[in-house]
Amino acid sequence: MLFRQVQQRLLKVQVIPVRTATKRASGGNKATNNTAGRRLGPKKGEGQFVQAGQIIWRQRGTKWYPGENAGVGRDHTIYAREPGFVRYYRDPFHAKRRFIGVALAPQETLPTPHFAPRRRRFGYKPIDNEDVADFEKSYLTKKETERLLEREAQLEDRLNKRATLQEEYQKALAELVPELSEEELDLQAVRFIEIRKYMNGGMAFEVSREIVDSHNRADLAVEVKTGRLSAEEADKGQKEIDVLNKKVDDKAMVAMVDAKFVVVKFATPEQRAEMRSELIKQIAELTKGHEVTPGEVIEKVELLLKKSVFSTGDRVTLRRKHLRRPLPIPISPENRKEFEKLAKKGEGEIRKVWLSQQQTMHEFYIPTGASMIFN
Amino acid sequence: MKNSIVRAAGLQIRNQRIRDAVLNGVPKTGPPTLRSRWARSRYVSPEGINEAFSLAKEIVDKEAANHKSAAGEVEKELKSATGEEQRAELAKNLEHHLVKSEFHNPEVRFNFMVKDSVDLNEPIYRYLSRTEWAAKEMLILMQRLEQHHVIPDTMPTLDPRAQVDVQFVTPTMSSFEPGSFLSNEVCERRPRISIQEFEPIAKDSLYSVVIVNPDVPDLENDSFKTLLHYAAVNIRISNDAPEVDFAQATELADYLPPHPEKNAPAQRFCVWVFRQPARVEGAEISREGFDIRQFAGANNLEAVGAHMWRVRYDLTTDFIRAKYGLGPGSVYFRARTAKPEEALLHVRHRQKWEKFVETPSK
Repeated sequence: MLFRQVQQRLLKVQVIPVRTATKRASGGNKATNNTAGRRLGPKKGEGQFVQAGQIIWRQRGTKWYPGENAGVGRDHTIYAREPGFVRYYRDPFHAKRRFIGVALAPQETLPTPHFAPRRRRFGYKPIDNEDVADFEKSYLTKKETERLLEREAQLEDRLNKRATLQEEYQKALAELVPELSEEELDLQAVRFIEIRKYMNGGMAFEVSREIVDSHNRADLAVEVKTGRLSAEEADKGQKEIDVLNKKVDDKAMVAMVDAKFVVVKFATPEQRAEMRSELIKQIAELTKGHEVTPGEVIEKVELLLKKSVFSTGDRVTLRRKHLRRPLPIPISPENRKEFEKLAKKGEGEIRKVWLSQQQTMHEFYIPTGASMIFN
Repeated sequence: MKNSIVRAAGLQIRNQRIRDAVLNGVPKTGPPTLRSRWARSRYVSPEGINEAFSLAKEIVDKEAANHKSAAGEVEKELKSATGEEQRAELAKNLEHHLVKSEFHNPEVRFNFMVKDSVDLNEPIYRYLSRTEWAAKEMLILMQRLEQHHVIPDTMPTLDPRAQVDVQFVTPTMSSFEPGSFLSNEVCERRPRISIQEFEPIAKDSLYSVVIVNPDVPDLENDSFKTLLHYAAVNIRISNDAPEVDFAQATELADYLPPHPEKNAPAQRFCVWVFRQPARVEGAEISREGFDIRQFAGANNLEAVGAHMWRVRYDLTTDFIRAKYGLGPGSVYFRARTAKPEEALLHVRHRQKWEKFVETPSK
C-alpha cells in the first residue's frame, strides 16, 4: 500500500519537457481562396437521353447517390450504366438520400416498386454471320481449354479401361446367361457398366438398376417426343428391352468382391441376408473356443470374409468380433527375463506404456499382431 | 435412478447399452459409443459427473412434468375452443409446452446429435431440426435469393418455413448450395426434391413445386422473359415423409432441361415450393412468358420454401440441345456494347477475327 502511494507521488513529480513552437512553419494561407471552379454539378438533366458510361453529375462527396442503372465513380461522379433516360428521385426506403437513376423507357418512373420484378435490359446482340457464330461458339476460356485438354489426355486411358471392363462383364454374363446372343450381351454389358457407376457412388444394386432402367425409359420417351421414333416403334423396342432385362436380371447382378465391382450370380436381398447369416455362423463356429485365434483359422476366416455378401464395414466388425488376437502382458520382475528373450528373438517387443486410469507408466511385452489393449 | 416422468417410447435411445450409459453413467468397460476397444479402455469420466448428472436430471424431470401437465390443460382447452384465431394461439401454446417438456431430455439430445431415430412427428425434433436449419442453411438460402434477385424477379418475397433440398440423380447424389453453378449435363433430368416442414402439418398435406427461369433473352423488347421448366401440383407431404413422390402428383408441365445460349448471361433456375389450401384441378399453364405470381395468386398458393441453381453455356449444352430437339440456339457477341462488331476488331483479337468480319457470309 505504502509502496503504491510513493510510486504515485513520484509519477506526479515527473516533468516532461515540451519545446513550444517559436518559429512559424512553412506555407501561408492567403492564396487558397481564389482557385478556379471545379465545374461540379449536373451534366445531364431530368429526362435527357444518355448512353452507357456518360457522366450525369459531378460532385464532391455523395450529395447524390447512384440509383437504378447508374454507377458511382472514384470521385463520386454519377454515370449511366445503361442507355436510357435520366431520372432524379427519392426512394422511401432511404428517406435521407437523393438518387440519380436511368430509366430504360421514356415513360418509366423511378424507383421501381420494392416488390416488383426488376426491369432489365438484355443488351447483347446475336451474331448473324454463321462463320463468326461458329468460331465464337468454339471459343473457350483458359480454364475450359485446360479442362478439355486434360480430358482428352485421359480419354485413351479411360476408353481402354472401359473396353476391358466391358469384355470382363460380357464374359461373366455369357457364363451366367448362356442363351444371350452377341448383340444382347453387348447391350447388357453396357447396362451393367452403367449400374456399376451408380454403385460406385454408394448406392445399392437394386436402386442403381432402377435408376439406370428409368433413365433408359425416359430417353426412349424423348426419342418419341422429338419425332425421331414413332410411338409404336418405341413401344415395341421397350417391350423387347423389358423381356431381355428380365431374362438377365433373374440370373446376374453386380456385387463388390475384393474392392472391385464384378458380375456375379443373382440373389435377392433376402437370399443374400440368409447367405450372410450362414457365413457368419460358419465364422463363429471356426473361431469358437480359442483363447488366441491360430494363424490357419485366421486364413480360413479371411477366405470366407472375401464373399460378396459382406460389405467392407461387415468385414471389419466380424474380424473385431471373432478373431482373438494376443493381448499385451504386463512385465513383472519374475517374468522379465523370459520376455526379454522372446523380444530378442523378434517375436514381440517390450514397451513402456502410460496407463491413464492408473495414472502410471508400466512396461508391457507386446507380441507381434497383438491388440493394443493395456489393462 | 428415479424416473419421476413417463417418457414416450419413441423418444428413447434405441440401443439399450448406450441408453444405460447415458442415463446411469459410463460402465467400467468404457463408453459404448466409442468404437475401438482401445479408445474405450482409455476413456476417463470427469470427476463427480454422475452425481451432478442425477441432481440435474431431478430438476429437469420436474420442469418437464410441469410442462407436460400444462400441455394437457391446453389440449383440453383446444378441444372446446371454436374461434380460428383462438385455436391457432392455443395450438402454438401446446407446441411450446410439448417442446419445453423434452427440451433437456438427454435421450432426445443424444438421438438428435447422432441423427438416429429422429421422428419429425415429435414437436421437439421438429424444433431442434428447425433451429439447426435456421442457423445456417436458411441464412444461406435467403442471402442467395436476395443476392441473385430471385426475389423480387420471380416472387415478391419469401417467409421461409420449409427446408427444400434439391438433388440431381448422379452417382454421387449430392445436394448443392443454393446459387451454385451446375453443368448442363447434370441438370438434364428432373431432380429429386424434398420438402421438410417444421410446423405441424396434417398427414399428406398438399404442395406444389414450380421451376422457372426468368433469364431467357427477349430480343424483341431487348429484355428477358420467363420460361416455365417444371410444374407439379397436389404433391403429398407429411412431417415425417418429406420426399416428393412425383408419381402421385399432378404434373402440369414436364421437366425441360436448361439450355442456355453462348455468351448470354448466366440463367437462374428458381425452385418455388407452395402450400396448397385445397386440390388444384385444371389449372391452365403456358410455358413461355409464365407468370409465377399470377399462377400462385389464381390457385391461392402460399410460398413456404425455395431453392435455386445457375447454369451457363458449357461443353455439354449442345449435346442436351440435340438430344431434346431444342435447336442450335443463338450465339451472341461477347461484348455488351452498342457496336459489338467493332469490339471484335480490337487489337488483341484482330488476327483471329479479321478473316470473318471482312468477308461477310454468303
